[in-house]
Amino acid sequence: MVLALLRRLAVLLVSALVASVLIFLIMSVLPGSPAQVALGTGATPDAVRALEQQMGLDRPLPTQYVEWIGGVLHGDFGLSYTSRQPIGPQLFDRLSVTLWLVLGGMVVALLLAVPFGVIAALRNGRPTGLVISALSQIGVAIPAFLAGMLLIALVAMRWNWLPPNGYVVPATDPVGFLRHMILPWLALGLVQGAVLTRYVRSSVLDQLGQDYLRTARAKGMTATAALRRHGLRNASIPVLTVLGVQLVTLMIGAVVIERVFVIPGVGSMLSDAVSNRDLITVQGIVLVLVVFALLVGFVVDVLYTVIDPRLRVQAR
Amino acid sequence: MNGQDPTDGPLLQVRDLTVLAGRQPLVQDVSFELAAGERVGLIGASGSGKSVTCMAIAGLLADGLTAGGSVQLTGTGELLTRSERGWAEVRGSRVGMVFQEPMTALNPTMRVGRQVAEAMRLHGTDRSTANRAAVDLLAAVDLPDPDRLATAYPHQLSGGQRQRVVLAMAMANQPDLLICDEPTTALDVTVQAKVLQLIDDRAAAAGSAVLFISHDLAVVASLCDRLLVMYQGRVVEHGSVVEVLTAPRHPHTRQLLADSELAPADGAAEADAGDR
Repeated sequence: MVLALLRRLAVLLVSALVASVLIFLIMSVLPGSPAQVALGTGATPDAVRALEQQMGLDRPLPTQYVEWIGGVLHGDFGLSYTSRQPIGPQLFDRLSVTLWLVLGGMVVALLLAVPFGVIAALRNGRPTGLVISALSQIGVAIPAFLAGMLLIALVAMRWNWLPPNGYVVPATDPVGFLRHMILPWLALGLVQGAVLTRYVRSSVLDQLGQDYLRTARAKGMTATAALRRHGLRNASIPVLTVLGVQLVTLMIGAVVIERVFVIPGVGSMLSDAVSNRDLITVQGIVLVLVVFALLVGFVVDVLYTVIDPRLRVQAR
Repeated sequence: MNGQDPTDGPLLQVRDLTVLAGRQPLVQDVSFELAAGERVGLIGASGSGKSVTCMAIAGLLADGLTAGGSVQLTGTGELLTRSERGWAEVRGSRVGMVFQEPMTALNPTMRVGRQVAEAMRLHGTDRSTANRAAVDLLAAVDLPDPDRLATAYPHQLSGGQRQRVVLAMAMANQPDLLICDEPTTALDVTVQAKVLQLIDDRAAAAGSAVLFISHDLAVVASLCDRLLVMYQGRVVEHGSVVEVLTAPRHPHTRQLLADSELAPADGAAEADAGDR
């Protein structure tokens, strides 16, 4: 068990390392010198070369990579090509904002998907089940940004219940933070919840046909108690896979919802950096997102073995 | 064990039991009685309605199937009109069940001992008593090293071992009636005999009546006092094991006998089989 965990951890570290090399290489083969971008099209070749030298861009690639990754390991992501400010502190600020956004959205999604998915499975083929299936199908078809704009139009603009956009740091003003986050959380959570509901439903349906639930009923449980005490744990395994994928997709796709609600997250930072051709910033953000995705994969794998003892043996 | 007096009349009384899938009858007008401690075999080809009959008696019919008629259990009364909650009180305490497929009958994510203990916990036994009793029950079904086995997960057990665990769960509360739905069909031959012997022993020890479903006449003949033969959803013949096996009246019973190795007129049956 411990050995399997260590092996999985090694895979995580190697993957992160390989990813960092790939990201670095892709950024360095992109045409156009960052110094040229920083100085504008009117700059003389001499000035560009001087700035390149100052930025260290004239040195061999391996040296540049080692310097970059060495800094990253200490939380130093270098200086932005455009603002000349250190990237690290801003990146972590933005990251925490996006994490709040995405995790809150996932909580809303789970709160919706688990009960509705289970009910849809239990009422499969009956009116309640059909209604939930139809609603979740509609939810799947609605993009999160559209849900966000509808929420803003109704809740914020027409009824004036909540602020339409903006962000407040939770430590300084917890209530303001919640008031600003409710709509983005709902926008993400409703859509992701609709997707997740379908997975919960089919996963629970799979389990409902299993013999062990009949055994549990034969022991003296009602059908619903059998599902609660025995079925849900088994049903959670495929749902967990989807949950991991959703979390990563949300994190990387957060830019859309951050734009709609004017939230200063990592997604809008990435899109700004891309449009400014601030490659070093892009490089740092992409690395952090990739490492996040790898971490989620790692946690999901560990949770599998916690939930399902059969996987523990295979992992040995 | 619940103070049943065998002279009090039948333990289980099934009257005109009918099971419908929509409008299609799967089981029609099945009536029989089971005295306390009695063992009755239910035989028939697959699709004859044996399993459905038993599931109806245990309130475990699949969605979309509806039961009509009457099933009375002494001391509990009519079962068919009970709610799922009402059924749950009866199942596991007064009626135990062993199923055909041991490989999938246990929850793969829960330790075996806990699954056995749960059968008692559901009917009012406290946790520590149930946990201790679970190990004893595993020992009683001849599982080796029951202390260690109680902490194992189902996938670490063989099919025969899992079926013993299921039997241990079914007998945990010493039920008045044990329903066995083809309990040895999925096991290999050497294990079959042992599991049958255990069902025999455990049912005798608890004084449980047994309703034993099988398509295998040899198995039923060795365990049961009486036989019911089902064909196309109806009981076509019933009587003591000796009566049914030596003087079968219904053509379907004769067919079942001819298909098995227990044929009354051995020579003739074998000649028949050779012709086919």
